[in-house]
Amino acid sequence: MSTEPRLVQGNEACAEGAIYAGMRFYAGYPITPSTEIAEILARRLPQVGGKFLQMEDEIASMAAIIGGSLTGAKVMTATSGPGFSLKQENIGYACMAEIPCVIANVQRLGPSTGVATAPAQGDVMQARWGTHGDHPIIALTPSSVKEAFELTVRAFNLAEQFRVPVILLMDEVVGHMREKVTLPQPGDLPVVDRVKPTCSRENYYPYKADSDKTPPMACFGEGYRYHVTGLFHDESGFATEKPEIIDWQLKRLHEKINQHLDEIITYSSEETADADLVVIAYGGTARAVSRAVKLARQEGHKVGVFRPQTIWPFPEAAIGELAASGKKLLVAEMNYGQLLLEVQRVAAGRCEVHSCLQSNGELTLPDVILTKIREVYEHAPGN
Amino acid sequence: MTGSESVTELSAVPKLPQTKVVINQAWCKKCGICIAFCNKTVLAFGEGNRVEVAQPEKCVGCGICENFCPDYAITLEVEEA
Amino acid sequence: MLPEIEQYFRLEKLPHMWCPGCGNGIILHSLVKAIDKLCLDQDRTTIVSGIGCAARASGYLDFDTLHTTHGRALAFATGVKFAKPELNVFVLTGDGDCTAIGGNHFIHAARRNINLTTIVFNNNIYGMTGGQYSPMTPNSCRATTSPYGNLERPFNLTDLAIAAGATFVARTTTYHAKQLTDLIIEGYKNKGFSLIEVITHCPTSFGRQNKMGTPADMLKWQRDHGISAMRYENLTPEERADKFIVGVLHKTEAPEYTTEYQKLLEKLG
Repeated sequence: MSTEPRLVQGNEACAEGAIYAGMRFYAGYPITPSTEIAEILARRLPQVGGKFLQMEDEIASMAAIIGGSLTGAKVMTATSGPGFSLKQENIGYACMAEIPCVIANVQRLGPSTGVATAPAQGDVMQARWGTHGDHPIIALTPSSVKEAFELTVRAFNLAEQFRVPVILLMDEVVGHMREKVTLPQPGDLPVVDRVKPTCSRENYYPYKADSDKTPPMACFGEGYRYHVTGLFHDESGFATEKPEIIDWQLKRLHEKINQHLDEIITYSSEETADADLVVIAYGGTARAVSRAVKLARQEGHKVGVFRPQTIWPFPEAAIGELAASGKKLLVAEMNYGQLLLEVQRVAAGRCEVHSCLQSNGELTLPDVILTKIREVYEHAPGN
Repeated sequence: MTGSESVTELSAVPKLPQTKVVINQAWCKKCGICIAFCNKTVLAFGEGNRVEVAQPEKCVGCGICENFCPDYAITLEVEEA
Repeated sequence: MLPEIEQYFRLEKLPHMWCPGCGNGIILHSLVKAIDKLCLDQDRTTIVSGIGCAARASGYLDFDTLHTTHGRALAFATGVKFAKPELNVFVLTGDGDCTAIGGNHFIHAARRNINLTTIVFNNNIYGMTGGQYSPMTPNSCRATTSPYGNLERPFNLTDLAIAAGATFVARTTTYHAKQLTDLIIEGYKNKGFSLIEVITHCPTSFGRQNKMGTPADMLKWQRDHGISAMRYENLTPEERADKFIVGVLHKTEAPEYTTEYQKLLEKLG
């Protein structure tokens, strides 16, 4: 890979990041605005000995990558809103059967077919709760081309480490944007591989974990001969309806994520120390927010930016701290208020929570956010 | 060759010496397939619909009962002469 | 059970969960005998199933087994096979699983001619959910969702497979259990997508609603209606009306998907 900076598209950075992370199995179905990821990988994967498969639909794509992952491959699929809805069935399966995989969702305007090429961030809650039943989920959200690369690598690392599906929640802005970047060289970023069992077949329990709660994962074809199912199962992998075992499994699925929140959750925090207003934004919107905050600072407003890179699990502790310190919060997102709900929940009345919401197929412009920032100051008590 | 011909063929096999039908009662679900298909009436429902080897001496060792048992509850053992 | 095939079962999971007289156990028996005759490496063989009565088969077999989601067995299996073509992959699916919710995956697996041996347990009904009609329920038959008789027409699954590009297509019944073993062996040997439709009996849901009698009566029905192509040829159209052919229905050669991809890798590598 070139050490020279070059113009790279967000979707391309995602595809290259996946290869960097060791992804060698992709199955997908074309859908705007994610399609470049498939097109690039169709060309690139066979060059590096990897497999590219265009399936008959998104459901099948998600199923195929789970099958591929069980043979030991690092796997991914990419899609957008309507396809993301279809993938939910087998995302749930991957949660339940603990199959490492990465799902890139380059968000577009919805609901339904919406506008194929229009930016939006309406899948925040679908990423969290799209599949049925209680389950933890990890979702990462990049806001630049460079970060699309880095967070794709990270998505694979987390998927492999915790045996979970990880959602790379991109948006049309980041996916289609081109920036001049130098892509990382091998060794620059850590690459994590799943832990495999070292015990004999007789002693292998595919869902028995030690204190970190993530069990070692055997590959199909290596002699462990184990059973995988989407039904609730015991340590041996076989279905059960016993409430105490269901309880054990569901708790473990949550604990394996919850006890590693510090490792999983990352965010960037700019000028929040002295701020009396912190704007919370992610993905494409965060770029406009950065600009708006600069302009607001020039006007003398003490404004900061909090940008979650891990959107799920929600960075509850960090936002809780902001709320507890009495800073006002302003959530800017391209939807009718999805992350806003989480911020309000965490703030729990401890601070003012404002919003700047837009869902009309256009990127929220810095001016719109700046106007909102001014409004917050103008309406502040004492002004 | 169709399966129906192969079944006919099997039942025409001359009596094999020393075969024994063993029923695993723990797996048997008493569906009656083995009884219905045994040409030699070796098997029969006993008390409580328990499948029993009523006439072991009639067994020709054709193996239909074992092949058709959906529960793998029948084993045809070939005894030492 | 013959001692030589015990090794292929997870014996501790038996007796299985199927109803008394259900034909699914017979199919599994035939499959295991085929695997034994083929001398397949147990560690290099994967069984993939969907959801429903038939799909529970995977749990009883001592291989790498993948019990997937409703209708998706072939899509999961495609992923397994494409990622690791050296694995032997068998797909066990029911008529509802394969032809309704999984219908799209079925035609595309056949079209790709990916090397999967697919056994469809066709009991003409959704068994596990309690007897609703499937795309394979014959017209006018009763099901809990067709209480006045089924108004829909069933698929001819083998014709569908042939049209979609499967390179080995066969049909038989649970009555023809020995033939089934032979067909599975032949299907496995075909380098491409193989479909073996097995007409099996569901005494509980299909049989009872359609007054088919005992499990043994249902097997006898299969014996009397499933006939060889040769016998079928000699029947008058009237005699053929309620008969169907058992045996190999279609066999051809076509490029197999994973092999073609391997060639691409070698060309680029």
